Amino acid sequence: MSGALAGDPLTGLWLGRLLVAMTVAIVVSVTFLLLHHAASLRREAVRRRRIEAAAEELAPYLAGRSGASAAMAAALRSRGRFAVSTVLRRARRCLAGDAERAISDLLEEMGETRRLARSARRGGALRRGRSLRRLAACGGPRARRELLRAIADRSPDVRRVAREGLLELRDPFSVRAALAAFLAESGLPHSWSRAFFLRLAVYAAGELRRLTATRQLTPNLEKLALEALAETGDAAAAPLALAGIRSPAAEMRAAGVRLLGAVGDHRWTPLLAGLLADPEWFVRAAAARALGGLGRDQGTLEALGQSLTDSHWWVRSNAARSLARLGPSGMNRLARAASAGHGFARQAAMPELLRLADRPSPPPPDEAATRDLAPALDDGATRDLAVAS
Amino acid sequence: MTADPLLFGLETLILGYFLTLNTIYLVFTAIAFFDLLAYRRRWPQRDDRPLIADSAYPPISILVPAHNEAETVVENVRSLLELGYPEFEIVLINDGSNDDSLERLRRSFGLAAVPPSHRQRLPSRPVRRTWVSARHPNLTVLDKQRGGKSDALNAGINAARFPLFCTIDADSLLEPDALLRIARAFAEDDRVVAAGGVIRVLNEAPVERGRVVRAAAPRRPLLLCQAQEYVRGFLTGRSSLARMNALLIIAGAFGLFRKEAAVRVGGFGCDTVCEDMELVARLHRRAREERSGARVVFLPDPVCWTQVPSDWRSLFRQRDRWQRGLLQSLWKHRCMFLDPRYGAVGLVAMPFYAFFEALGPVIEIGGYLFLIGLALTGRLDPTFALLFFALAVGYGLLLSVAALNLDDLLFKRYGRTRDLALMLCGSLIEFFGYRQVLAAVRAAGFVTVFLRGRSWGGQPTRTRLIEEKPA
Repeated sequence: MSGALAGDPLTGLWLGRLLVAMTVAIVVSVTFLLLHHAASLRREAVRRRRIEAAAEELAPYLAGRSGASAAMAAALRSRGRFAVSTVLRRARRCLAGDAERAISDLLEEMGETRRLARSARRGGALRRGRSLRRLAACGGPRARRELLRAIADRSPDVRRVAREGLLELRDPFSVRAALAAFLAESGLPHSWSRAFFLRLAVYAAGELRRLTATRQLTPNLEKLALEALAETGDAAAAPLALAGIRSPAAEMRAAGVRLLGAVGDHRWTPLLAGLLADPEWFVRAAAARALGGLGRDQGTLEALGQSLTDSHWWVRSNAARSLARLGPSGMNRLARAASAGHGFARQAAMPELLRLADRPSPPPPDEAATRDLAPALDDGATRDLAVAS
Repeated sequence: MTADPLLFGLETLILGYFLTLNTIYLVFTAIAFFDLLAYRRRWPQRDDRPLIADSAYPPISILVPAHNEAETVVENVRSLLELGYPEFEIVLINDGSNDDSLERLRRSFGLAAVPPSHRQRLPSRPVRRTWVSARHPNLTVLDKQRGGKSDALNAGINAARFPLFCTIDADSLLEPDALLRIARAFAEDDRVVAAGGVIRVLNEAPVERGRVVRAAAPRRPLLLCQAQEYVRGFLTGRSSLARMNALLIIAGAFGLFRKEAAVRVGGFGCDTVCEDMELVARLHRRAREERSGARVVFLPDPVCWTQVPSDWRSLFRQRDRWQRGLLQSLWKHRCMFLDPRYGAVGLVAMPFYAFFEALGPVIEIGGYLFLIGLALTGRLDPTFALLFFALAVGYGLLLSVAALNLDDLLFKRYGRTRDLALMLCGSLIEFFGYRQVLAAVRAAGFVTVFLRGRSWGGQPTRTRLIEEKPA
């Protein structure tokens, strides 16, 4: 450079090679990008069309009508393996009992289960996991065998897919095997445990209840189990909620309260109202929120009204929201609190009052309540409220 | 030995700079590829809402600062109200707008004024009025005196009820599952204090009912270059720095923060024009000083569509502001520079931003001027010119194409090959004028930082969103 290397044939050669290599790399990258993109779009479109056609052809036979085997063979010839197996797997998810078993048999008959079982033993973790996920959707003894084998796989991702796949099979043996494998694992990410319990609550809530009742779980897992039961609204889990509420661990008490709020009824409101005095703010907040969905008795109203002055803002906020959910009597209580200058009460009350005013035939809060709220609003605000109404 | 040691030194410096810069980006691209691949394996692109219980998602306050955004603000709020998230509230902060933003909001959402009831935890200009919607209980509008974006966001944090807050620009649209995806980081890991998602270019993308119906590459070259720049910047640079927990920038257009952490460090700083970067730097600094293990993460699949400047003037102002903000933030947190106590932030991120992001444009422009000077004086060595071209343009182009490949292989955003081809054109044409002009603007930032300081530099031009006609 600067004349130093100019004219040197070695430099020219080296530079020429560099430029050629760079040009080739750019051209190859661009070509790969465009071709891959176009090909994958086309492949997806073709697959979508074939799946739709296969679904139309197979739909009449999926509920157990005779001739399914012949229809499947015909669809296999015309639409291909991918389309037929996808339709069958998706149909199996929506069915139960004999129809579900019949589809598993069809998938076995067409060789899909065998093919996936082979694929689940080969390649990287991504491929093995994908095959196992599809196997779980196929069902049947071979799928179960393969999933049971995979719960000891070297990859944690594959083991996770295997456990969740076994849950999906729903038979007691598979569920227990998945559960045993899950409990044998240590240091699982929080989200994995949460997802596992949620699936367990959906597919085998009884098993999850039994496991929680044995008190063998760590506090963290027990909390997740209670949350999963709350999420699926399993009414039979109320005794577990009560056990959680009596726990010395605050996290457990909060989880128990949330569960009771999701599955309980008005009989539990005195218990929950008592928890508004819990020393931990998040237990009080959970109780305040749970009460909003359960009872409208005077005791609940009073307890929630007192929580509007709680030392923690989240408890106050939840109490105000619960009062707003409790209908006119709750609104009256909120309006009184708002007029006394409680910010959260005012914040919760205003949108509710506005929504009532916005309805064509509103069930308005009583006059006294509206009158009580008036001092909380300045003149401009009242005028705006009137305009909005 | 060379005939002219000074010239040789300068040539080596310029070539070495481009070689180092692009090699660093190449390493970033490689790290990002493996990182994003692992991410995709763990979180396939499907609706994972059923896999995580609703109760696990922390409630979020969405803060939308708006100043004279009448053209897009209603559409934006409407799209936010339709977000698929268990519990959220929208706090729109009308930062002293002179247009009819507030009137449009009042008409569209049935707003009614209520007395303000929040605590002033962070300093901000006075809130004139608080409005709540009669139709949407989770919509609050704060009408405050003009104080700038940071001030508006601080007022929004004061009014936010929930433990996490999300900052969104009033000219941006979130994808329906963007909040679910970004909140996952907080649901999984309690140490996460801030998370950023991907920003994509909204201009010219078809929008229906406040949602982008399909990703489309813009037709106009200026927008195309920016679209390409965003893909490269977000998917490679940020992903790699986040992997080292050294991400210093979370775009103000879409970021999720833990409120308590932000309040503890004093909220958004009003003494800089890049409040997002400055807040993240402060969060890192506090975390390292207290050894709290706090993390700032980047997620590649929550997407926010934002309007980028559509004319050169607005673009110059934006880039000048970014450069000034970068310089201000780096200067403010210079104590972290190369200090091992600050871990990867001090040893990797700060030097990278200082030498390649802040100082880079000066060297780049210097290189171009040097090349022109040599050509004019007849001393231009063809070897140097070719090497310069190969390293500055060829290597850069290769990296841009690699970023597009990464985007397409892992996320497949563009549903039409034509759009991808357009993006490729964008990555080519940006090297012939666009980059040089912006490098000049950014280099001038070293001067304007003293002249303009904290001035925002004017409002960018906003265009109406393109509504897709139903077939």
